[in-house]
Amino acid sequence: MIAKKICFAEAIALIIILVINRIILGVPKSLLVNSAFSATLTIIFVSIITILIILLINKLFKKFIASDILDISEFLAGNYLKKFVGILYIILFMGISILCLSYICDVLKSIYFESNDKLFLALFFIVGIAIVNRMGFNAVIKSNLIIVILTTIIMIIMFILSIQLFVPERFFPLFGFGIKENYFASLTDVFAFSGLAYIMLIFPFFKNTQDFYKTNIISTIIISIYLLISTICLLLVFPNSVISESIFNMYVLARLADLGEFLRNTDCIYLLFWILSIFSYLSINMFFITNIFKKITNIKNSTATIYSFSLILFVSILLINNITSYNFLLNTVYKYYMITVIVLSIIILILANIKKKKNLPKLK
Amino acid sequence: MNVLKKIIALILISIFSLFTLTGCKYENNSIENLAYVIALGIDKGEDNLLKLSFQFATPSSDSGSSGSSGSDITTTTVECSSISSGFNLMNSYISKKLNLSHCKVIIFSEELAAIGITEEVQTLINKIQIRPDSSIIISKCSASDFIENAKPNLMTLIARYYEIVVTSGKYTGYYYNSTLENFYSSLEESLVEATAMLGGTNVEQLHYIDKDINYIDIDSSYIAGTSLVEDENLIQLMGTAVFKDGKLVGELNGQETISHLIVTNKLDQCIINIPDPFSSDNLISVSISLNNTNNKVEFVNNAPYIMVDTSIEAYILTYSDSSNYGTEEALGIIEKYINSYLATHISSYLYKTAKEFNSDIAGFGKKVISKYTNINKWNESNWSNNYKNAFFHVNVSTDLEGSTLMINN
Repeated sequence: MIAKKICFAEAIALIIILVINRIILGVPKSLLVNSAFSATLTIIFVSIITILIILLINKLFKKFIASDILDISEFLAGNYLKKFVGILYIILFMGISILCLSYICDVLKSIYFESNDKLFLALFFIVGIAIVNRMGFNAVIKSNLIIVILTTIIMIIMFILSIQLFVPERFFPLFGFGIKENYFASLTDVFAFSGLAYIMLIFPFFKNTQDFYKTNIISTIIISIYLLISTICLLLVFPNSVISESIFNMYVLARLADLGEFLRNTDCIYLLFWILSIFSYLSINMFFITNIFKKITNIKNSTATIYSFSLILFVSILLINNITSYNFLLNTVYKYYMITVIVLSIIILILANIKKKKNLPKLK
Repeated sequence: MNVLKKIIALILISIFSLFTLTGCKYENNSIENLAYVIALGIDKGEDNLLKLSFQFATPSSDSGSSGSSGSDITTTTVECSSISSGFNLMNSYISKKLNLSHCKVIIFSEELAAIGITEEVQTLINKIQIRPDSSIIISKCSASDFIENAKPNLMTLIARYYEIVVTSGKYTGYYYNSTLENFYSSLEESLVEATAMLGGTNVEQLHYIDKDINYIDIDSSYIAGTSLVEDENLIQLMGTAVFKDGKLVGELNGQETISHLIVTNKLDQCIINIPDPFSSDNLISVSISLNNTNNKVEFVNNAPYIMVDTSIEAYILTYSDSSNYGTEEALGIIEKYINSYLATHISSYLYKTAKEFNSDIAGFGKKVISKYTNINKWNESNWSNNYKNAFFHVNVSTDLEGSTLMINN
């Protein structure tokens, strides 16, 4: 598997597919449950914080052109730190892939395939992921670009159609559970911007290194807009209690967003594109997992590892046996784990920059 | 060698697909194995907690005669302890799997609605097959009677009949289509109370005219099943069922429903009768359509003071030799009559919802919630119970456009 360079549009699409899946997986619901009516203000607040973090990351990466966090870890403290960080990232990507696959299989089972086994449904995804990754990074990235464009169009249509269901008064009370509860408690909602984790790894894949900095900023702004729109739609269409009790918010919204008597039952169209986007997302995760594994183990050919990790992913979905454990793993374990990994990566970046600064006079 | 590998892979995939993707047989979900429910009725049970009535569309075996056979309908009833167990009992009885994806209406009996239907609605919204746009009807008679009498009138397909019948309130104003999703949302939030269409069967014994009502208002004073329509037993929708905390607390007749639709900005078009200002023996029929209604809520000594300001467009439908509505002055007088007539009726409707029902079905809570900065303060205000202390001011301004085709000058 040879990782080829990606262009600006492909890089943006790579980050956007992450947020599309985070939305499908229920991140807007998490934001709404935490902040209630003021979730929109919370998203703007968290987006500003994330953009500041991105500006910091961009600045820190300026001294490490075309390097990822693994290279930087190696530069900072040798092979051991590189392996440690690599394992952290593999667990992160594997974790979210397991959650994502388990969730979509549960949803498909309850909607269309009541009598089928969850593993049987997962098998279709696993086989696809393995085949696409076997075909290489180019196949993953290019198919992702097409899927992102189509899914974005479909989601925009869904959001426009849901305008007719808006109750603007659901914006109130403006400060939800209170200013203190909203803004300080919502700092952890930065986990909604899970693209931060991928930004730490994608720099080596850019054709033009300057695109990396632009991609980070633009993709974060797009993610903010996406989250904001999807949260507004949910907030204004459903009462808060319905949002917090509903398992698959976006599907519930999709069931309502149709064209009156002209075009009904459009949820199957949305679901089709969501399946494609989840498939693409899982393929990207699998690519990063195998790529990190290749880097930390120094193996020449990582093709065989695709099958191993696919098998681990396939079997691991058995770990999540109900929606309560899914919610706990996503909103507690994964949320704080992701924040820890990102904070650790930023600390590594800062220390590596200090080390580089100290090393410069010696080089001169 | 590579080509051979590809061919083998293709053959294996084809064989795999053959056994896995032919879902119909594997899932037992072919059309012969499914029973499509068109309407679901829920009554209070006699020997058990609930009585479920199912109206099925019978698929025709002869595809060439779909037009006439489309009206083949079957109704079956089962007593059960819960909706889900009722479905299961019915599955067992008919030896087919119930499919609710084409269920157009869900009917609750008035008796059950008075006890409370929150749990039933929550169970139904949790069923993926039931579409959230299915209509909710509260039946004056038992739900099973309602379903039994629901036969397509002037058409053949029962499913299409239900689709049309629930939306025809758009041009009468006598009822408004309440969907499962809207009903459920209203049950779940404190901004507005739930309402549903009122239904009944047209039985002669139920025909009734309230002697206290002015003759001008008789046509719009009926509720479902009481209007003087001479026909065989057919279903009729008219009026609105009013809920408070998931329980039926009262009913609105046709006229009150028009007022409700005006206040909630949902009226498309309707016809009202007003006294003829120039002849006390006559009345004038006017077609009205809503421009806009603005509601404001203020608090006076902690009691809500609600101001309703509505703008209406009207056309005179009455035309006779004795009428003389063509002058500017005459139109001005009729406008004032319409304003006064509607303001009185809207005011009466609003006081009924506040004092009699204590149910904010018009959703004034939406206007109040913006006055609070956080949820705790909103909950403390206890709007739902304070609504009974509300007093109202209604202002109607009518733009009378004249007549439709003919007018006496």
